[in-house]
Amino acid sequence: MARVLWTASLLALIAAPAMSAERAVDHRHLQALQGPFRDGPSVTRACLSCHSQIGQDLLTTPHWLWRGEDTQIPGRDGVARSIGKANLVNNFCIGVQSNESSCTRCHIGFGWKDKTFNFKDPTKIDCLVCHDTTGDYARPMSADPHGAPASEPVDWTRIAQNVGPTSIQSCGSCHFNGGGGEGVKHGDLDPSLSEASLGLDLHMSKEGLGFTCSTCHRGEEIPHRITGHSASVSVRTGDVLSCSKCHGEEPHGRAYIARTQSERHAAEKFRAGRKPTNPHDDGLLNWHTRKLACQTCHIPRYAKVLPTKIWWDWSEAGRHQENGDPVQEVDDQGNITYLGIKGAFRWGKDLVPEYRWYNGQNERYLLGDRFDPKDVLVLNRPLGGPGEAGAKIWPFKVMRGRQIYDTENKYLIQPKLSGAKGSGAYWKDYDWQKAAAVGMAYANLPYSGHYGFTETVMYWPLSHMNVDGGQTLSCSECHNRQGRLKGIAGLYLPGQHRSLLIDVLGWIAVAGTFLAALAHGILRWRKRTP
Amino acid sequence: MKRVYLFKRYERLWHWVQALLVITLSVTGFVIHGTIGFVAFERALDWHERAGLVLIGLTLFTMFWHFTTGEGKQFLPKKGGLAEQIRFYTAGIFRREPHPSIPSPEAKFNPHQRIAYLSLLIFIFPVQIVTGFLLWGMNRWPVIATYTAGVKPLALIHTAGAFAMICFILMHLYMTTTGRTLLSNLRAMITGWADES
Repeated sequence: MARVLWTASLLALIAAPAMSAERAVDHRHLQALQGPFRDGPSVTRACLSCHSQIGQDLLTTPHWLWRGEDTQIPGRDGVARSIGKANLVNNFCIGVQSNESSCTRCHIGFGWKDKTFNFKDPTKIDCLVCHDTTGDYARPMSADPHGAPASEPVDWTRIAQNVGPTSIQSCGSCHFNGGGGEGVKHGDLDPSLSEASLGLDLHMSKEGLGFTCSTCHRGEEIPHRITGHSASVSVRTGDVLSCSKCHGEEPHGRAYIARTQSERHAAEKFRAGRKPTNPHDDGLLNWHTRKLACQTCHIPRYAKVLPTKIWWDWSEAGRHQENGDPVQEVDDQGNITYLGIKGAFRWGKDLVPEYRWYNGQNERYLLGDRFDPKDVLVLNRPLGGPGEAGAKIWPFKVMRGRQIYDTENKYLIQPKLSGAKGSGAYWKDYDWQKAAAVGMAYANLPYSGHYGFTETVMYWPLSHMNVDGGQTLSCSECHNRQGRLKGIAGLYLPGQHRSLLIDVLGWIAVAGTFLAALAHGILRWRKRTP
Repeated sequence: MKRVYLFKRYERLWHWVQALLVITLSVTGFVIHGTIGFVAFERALDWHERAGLVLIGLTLFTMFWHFTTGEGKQFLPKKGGLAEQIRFYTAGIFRREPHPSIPSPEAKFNPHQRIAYLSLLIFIFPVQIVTGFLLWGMNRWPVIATYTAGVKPLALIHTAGAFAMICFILMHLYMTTTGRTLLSNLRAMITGWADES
């Protein structure tokens, strides 16, 4: 009996750490969550009554601040700045400043509608937007300090009692819809990932590893400090989440590094019954990792199921009906190709990425930076070149468009787009002059009163929608005269590159040999004895 | 007409296996180079690597064979006779003069052949085998890349060698027709028996 008890307690000791690491607490019967709750902040107060430290942790994160820690932006003056979604411009909906009421429906807080928002108040955190598991929690269309949705009333108490871990759906409720619609922005993040097939994304597919976003992106020391950066809102000088965290630097034919039991189990299940790879092939593929990011071969195409926006021309905006409703045009695929408040769009589906050397850092255009309007303005040029430490060839979605700028001051304009009629909001008033003046005043920058439209480019490195096995990029996609990496410096790719001199001389020699033999043979034939 | 047994069974086997390998290597090599594209790069590379490894093995064994049988001497240039041989190819052959040298088991090759085959064996083969082997082994022993400055120099030398090889094959094919009859030399390499006069 004693021995049985001893064995049982030993087993419990071994099993306990593994279990506790991933044990989910059933929140339904917790005293603090019995409610009833009338609004979002009252739910948050209940959450904070147990998770007060998480509240404090969250107040310092980019998810809350929409900007990062002070960082030196590469290629600039060396001044440390805090940049992020809150103060940058892009070539989609341009920027948040003066448009908070619309943009912050994807902020993890209640009530950020202008500069008066209190970023030090943890009760304004919206826990539910990430931790709802019912799928019934709909965020309001515009920032409301009480979090009340525009349409149906929220059953705050039921939703509060059904909190749980984040999911692809909860993260995706914002990250899949950036830029104002499904898949608009990233190209490698859209709602198709919620039901991903193995061919769409092997990590997120239930047939594959069944990971959620937080499997890879969870914070290590502070769980709510999510790891990973988007090159659109960060210059990535801090921590970088990469494939190598689990797969190592030379992944082919090697064991990977599982960080949790469930990752280990998922991987074992995934690999069960698969043929081991050939060591020579593994070596050849690992050799490629010196210069190629994993993503280059493992994300051969993006926006595979849903289209993504690849061109946005703001200069075409303005056509509207008499009642103020914008004109809308749709192509035969159902994509909006023109919208009076936003301009003309082009979409792409199942796209081939563009490739650039990239060391994980970007230059960054900041509001107020002067540029030469004769050139195409790159808002976040990826840095790094051949031979530089850490630089590899990456796949990108490249977003191009035309957006408003100040023709006298020669910098981009942050226009006011969203707001009430008469506020200067372009989406209501259709007046660029007013939208530019109001927006630039909000951003504390002079506006000359003269505007134009200039072409801009943004680079979106791809990291999702990865595949393996026979679905990866085939060798001949690059090892080919017209291969995908055509024009990328610092490479000699057999099949794509050659020495024209050697080839021309070589073929001259071959042709010369052939003709010499032919001439000799003809002479022999003509001189043959009859 | 007298006939002579010129090429032993192993020599003929070596010749034809080598011919098959060299043709495979040339065709797949020019796929890898991007010149032709009837099979995918990955398949061509696979065949090219296999054929290359077999050719290295065959070459090493054949070197051993030539040392142990003493047949290596057949490839060593001999004094005299070359000028005569060249005069025959450039003039005498058109007048249907007799061949200046008559093959025998002791001297299978004429002076011109000796030089041509020796250049193949001491220039083109070693260059192709060494550069090819280094390219194949680079991912196993990355230190190679630090000495060769990467793939490019090796690949360019290997390409140049391939052109030389193609030129050799073309001329070699033509020269087989310069025997007593158009096909007599070919027959000798298949059966081993050559015409003596």
